[in-house]
Amino acid sequence: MSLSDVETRPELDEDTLVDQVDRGDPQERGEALKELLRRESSRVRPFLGRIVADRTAPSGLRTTAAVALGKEATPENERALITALAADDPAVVAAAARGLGRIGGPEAFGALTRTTGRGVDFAQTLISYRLGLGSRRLAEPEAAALLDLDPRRAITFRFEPPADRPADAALRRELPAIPVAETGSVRFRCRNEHLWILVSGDAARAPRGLTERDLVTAVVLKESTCPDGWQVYEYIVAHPRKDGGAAMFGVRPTGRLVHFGLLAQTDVNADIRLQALDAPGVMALEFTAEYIAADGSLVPRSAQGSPPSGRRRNPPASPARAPTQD
Amino acid sequence: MASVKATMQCLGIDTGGSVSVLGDFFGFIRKRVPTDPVSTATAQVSVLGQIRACQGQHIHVNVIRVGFDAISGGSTALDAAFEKLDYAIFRTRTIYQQINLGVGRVLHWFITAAEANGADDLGSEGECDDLIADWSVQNDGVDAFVVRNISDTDFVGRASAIPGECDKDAKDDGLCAGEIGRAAEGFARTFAHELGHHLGLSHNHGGANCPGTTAGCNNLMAQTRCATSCGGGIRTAVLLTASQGSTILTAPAHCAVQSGC
Repeated sequence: MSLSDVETRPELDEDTLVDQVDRGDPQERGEALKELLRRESSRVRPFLGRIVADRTAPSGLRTTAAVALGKEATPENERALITALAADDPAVVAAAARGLGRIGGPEAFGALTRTTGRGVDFAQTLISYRLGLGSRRLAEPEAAALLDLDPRRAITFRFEPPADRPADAALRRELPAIPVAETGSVRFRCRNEHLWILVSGDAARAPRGLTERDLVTAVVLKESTCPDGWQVYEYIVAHPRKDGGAAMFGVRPTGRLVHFGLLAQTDVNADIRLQALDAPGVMALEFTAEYIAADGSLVPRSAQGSPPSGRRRNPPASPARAPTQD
Repeated sequence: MASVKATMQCLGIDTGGSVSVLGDFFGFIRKRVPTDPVSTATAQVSVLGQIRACQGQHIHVNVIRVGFDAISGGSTALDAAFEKLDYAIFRTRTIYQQINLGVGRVLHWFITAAEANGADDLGSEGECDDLIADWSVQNDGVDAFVVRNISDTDFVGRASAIPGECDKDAKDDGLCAGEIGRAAEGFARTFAHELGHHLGLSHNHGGANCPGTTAGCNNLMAQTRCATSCGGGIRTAVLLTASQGSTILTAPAHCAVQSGC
């Protein structure tokens, strides 16, 4: 269970909360549903599908139900999210697509093919890499899109000894359909961030290493400070290249491409080099590692980060100033 | 004693045209003191108190509302949302007064639902992080994003790093201060709590536990579940200690902390 800064409302019993989900005002309905989900109430599961499909329900209620469905890989949840792809509310479609990216299989992939909207493309991409479909591959960026490290301001990441992984239950919530290898993970700190690269079970089991097929090779978890816990920070996906190596991509859960690199197959193992792409807030990176095929482990060689050496082509945007109300 | 105008100028507030004390000096978007959600209580502000607060160490805050144009319920619902924002500012100022940290300039900004491209309804903590990375106000205020909805029940607010950064090109230069669909008191506490993280404060308890004392449970940096389970509730659980004040204000002060006017 995630240790979120959630508002528990012990004064309300589940009957009251269930009633509020159906009959409260919009704020009550939303808070009641969230409270039931935080309590992991068995009462809420049966009607999540109904809520997400209810065209008369508030948008936020439906997206909350869709996000919850996308945290558990069951056929019922997948069906409910596929149904929600037909919603007329773009926010509901986007939430359903995100959920399907996390838990969906071939049927979901097909349904997404027939859907347009925010998040749909990346949901298909994630499913394709998860299942090794060889479709919807990410395009290799141009060299000019990569950030150059500023050696004068570079920070060397501090790698830490292996430690216990997050609890299985917490991992399953974050990665409901991506198995994680028991060994081979790497933890490191960069400034005030604590990150953990977990090699995927598919990568660890790949007989010819990481150049065999499209796959999610690893997942980067970031230690979250509020709420406490680990969250998916980046998916590392890869697909084979014609030169015998593989192209690797670091993609945020929102679908934003933030890292790119190449994997060169050696006799048995593989050399990996990753760099950062010019996107808002992304620091320049030089990460090299060796992938040991025999035990599916990742052995970092070096990792440095810095502000980009040149001017960002994609700085953050400025919001508009809001006048006070008259 | 400095004048209101001189203090506003020191804070970087434009005093060239028509100026509202409640709107520009106190930063209330509705130019009114917000209504206290407890019907028997009355929210009050003091001009003298605010001048004195700004003479000491203080921070500036950019309240960035995200996707409020997509709030259903028309002008009544929008006005209620603005009132919650103002109450959060009011409470935050009161809470940080305990450690002699003023809240100086409060500016309001907005990102439309279309511009936010889905980030007005956060479905994961990663979406919050990307929202913070994507948008920045290029001034010396802390960017506090308030979204229309958070549909991931794992969080009600989020600070992506402790402490947050002041480099407005960095990814941890702001915080997700909460969702406007919550009740006012809970939203206001989360706003102040996440700001505390940004300024360098960690939770005052570890992992799954809550603090072992009532005072600990009533601390602002106890998670909400602790405030409601072993503390006096979300309205009461807003205490800050001298030690927490030192973390923010001394040796060295957080980069967002301004010297006194």
